[in-house]
Amino acid sequence: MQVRSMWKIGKIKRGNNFYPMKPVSFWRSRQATPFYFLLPTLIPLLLLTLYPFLNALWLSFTTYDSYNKDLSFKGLTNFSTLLTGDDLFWVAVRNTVAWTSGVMISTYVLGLITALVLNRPLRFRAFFRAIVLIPWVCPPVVAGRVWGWIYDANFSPLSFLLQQLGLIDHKIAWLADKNLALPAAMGMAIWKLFPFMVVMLLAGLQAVPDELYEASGIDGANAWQQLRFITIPLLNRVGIIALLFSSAWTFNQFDSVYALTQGGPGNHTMLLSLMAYQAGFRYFQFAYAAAIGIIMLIILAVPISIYVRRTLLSSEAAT
Amino acid sequence: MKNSSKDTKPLSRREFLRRAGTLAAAAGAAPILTHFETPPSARAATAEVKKVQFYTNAWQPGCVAAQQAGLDAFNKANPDIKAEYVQGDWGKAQDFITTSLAGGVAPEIMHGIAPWAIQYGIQGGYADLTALIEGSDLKTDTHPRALDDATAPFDHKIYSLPFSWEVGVLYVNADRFKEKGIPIPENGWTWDEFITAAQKLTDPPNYTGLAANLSATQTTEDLIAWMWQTGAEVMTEVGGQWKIDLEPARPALQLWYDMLWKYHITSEASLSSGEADLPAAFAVGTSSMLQTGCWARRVLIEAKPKFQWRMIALPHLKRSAQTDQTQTWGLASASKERGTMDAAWKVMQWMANKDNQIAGALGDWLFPTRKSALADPQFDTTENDWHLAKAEVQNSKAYPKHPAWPEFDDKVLGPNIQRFLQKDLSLDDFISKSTADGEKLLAKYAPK
Repeated sequence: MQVRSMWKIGKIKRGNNFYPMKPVSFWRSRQATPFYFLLPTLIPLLLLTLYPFLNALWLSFTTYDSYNKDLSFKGLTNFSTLLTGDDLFWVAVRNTVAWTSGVMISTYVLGLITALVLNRPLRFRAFFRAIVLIPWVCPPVVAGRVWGWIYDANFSPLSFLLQQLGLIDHKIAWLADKNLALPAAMGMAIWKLFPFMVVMLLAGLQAVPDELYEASGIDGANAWQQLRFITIPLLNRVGIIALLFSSAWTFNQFDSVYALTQGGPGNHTMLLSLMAYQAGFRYFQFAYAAAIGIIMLIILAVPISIYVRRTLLSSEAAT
Repeated sequence: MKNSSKDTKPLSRREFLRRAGTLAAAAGAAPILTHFETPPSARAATAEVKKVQFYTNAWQPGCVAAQQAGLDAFNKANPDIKAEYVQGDWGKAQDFITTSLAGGVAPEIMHGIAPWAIQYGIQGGYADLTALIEGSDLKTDTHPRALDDATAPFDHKIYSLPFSWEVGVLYVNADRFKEKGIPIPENGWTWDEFITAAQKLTDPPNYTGLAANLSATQTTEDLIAWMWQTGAEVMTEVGGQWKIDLEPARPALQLWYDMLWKYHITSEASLSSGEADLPAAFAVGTSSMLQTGCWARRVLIEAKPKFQWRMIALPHLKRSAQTDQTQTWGLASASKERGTMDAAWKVMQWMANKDNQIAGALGDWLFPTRKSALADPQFDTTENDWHLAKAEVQNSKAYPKHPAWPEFDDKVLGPNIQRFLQKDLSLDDFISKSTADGEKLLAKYAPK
């Protein structure tokens, strides 16, 4: 405590006396040390993210494409076209919101159930905890190909299984049916993402004290009440962080959906990320693609920042 | 107690930060200095040997072997040029070419299809080959339609060299035709004859009459031939003006709708089946007929189906028409600065000579674009129905060359066809909406 006050007032103790310290700039002071340690990470990160972002931001205000390489400022032309002149944009927004919310909610519920099961004293629990990670480590394009085969109209093992169980009477063209294509693609995304939720929630469950369950049991609480009033509230913070990460990943997802459906049938699985890819790489409209990216950033950033401010800050105040 | 002699003075914070900074700078500089890729200009322009990268999407083993052998023979015959084989992939080719052209690191020679080359040429990424082709025997020996496929619509420049053709065909289960008493229509057949036969050849859920690739981004690949047969041009130039021409295509769209929902000749599976899956499914008998390109014969042969199969022409209505996909090699404009353009053109001429075109086309189960190569008797054999597919070369037609075509196909025509076939859109709305949106795109891409 004495040391801290000496730093604040700029004095150093030698023996029983205090002497004023020679003033030093912030960057030569001890307080700047953490920044120096962060520099090797920050510099590449800024080069690889901030520069492309600023470049894309500028590009979105131009009408640059590979035919007319015009980088002059054109204001909000692209954004205006997207919002008022491109029907596909609103189809993609609708699909992306449905995709993101459906995947997030399902992943959370499935992840929570799995984490609760894996938190119990099971035989071979370590083995199950390991294999649950397999979907997460599978490369997205490989996942797209594998699930493309699972949903294949002619050779689908899923259709075969459901037929054997008597749940369907003919093969289903999962990815050709306009009502099933997006849920089918979401099934693949849930399979891919739920291990992350399991890991996060399992870690959160380790921090829940057993005494709370014992005490609530003594007070007559059943399993559902323990889950509702102890487990879920105490997992709130970890859950929010996991949901924030997974929502950002899911919202921006491109590779596995592209490998599975390329946005079809009839744009029923067209996502904003796919639309941006097509605009850039199929039609060479890089400025338009950049504008879609900026809108995606805004769509994602606004609710996340509001949610973080309200929820995390209130949960900090509550604890 | 005295400290041991091995104790050193504690490291000061300043000295620690100085050493850490030096180490970090060295660690950051080392990979940059040691792994920096030799820029193409340095790669290419040594005095003795010019290096030329030959990027190819060849995937059929016969074609890969033929192209590698062709390059090896070239390198032996031309010790001052080293042609390097670079394997590509059709699935990633456009992304690779777009990004490498933008980054200035494109290979000298790039394999693609004529419509891509026209786009890259207009954008300045591909060199104008008009003078080079006109100064060689390729001008007179290349089939005029192949040259026309590679010619840009506005400036009439040739931005790539055609070397092979894919023709759209119909594979049929000959055993099932025989079983149902239907003769194989080797001399062509009409839509009515096709529908009558296809109804007899359909037995859902055991098998369908016809399978085709109507998946996203490839919907028009098979369907457009039927639209052309009605006399519709889909997107065409009339008197210097480009327009959308879909109204005459109504019978084609109605036919496919009826095949799906009325006759059940084709199934909804076609809306999601990729081109690679269809031959495998046909080989196990899931459909009596399969519409795809003539390249699929090798896949069928290797799948060893338990039935005899034949390859025949699509049925015709007002005219015969199949899709052709002209494959070309483009020359990167940047090769001029690198000093490798002449060397690259030499490689292209070598690979496009008669013998190499024949070897490559046979290996790819396609047809060469050189007239002298196409006249080779190997393309007239009855084995694997080469003769029937070759007869369709004259009826084959390329996709529209307008730069608006890719966006019109991916964003308007393909999705609207899928929506129409899935009963989301009426035929009238399909025609009006696709025409209106198509005209907007034509205006957007019109030369300024």
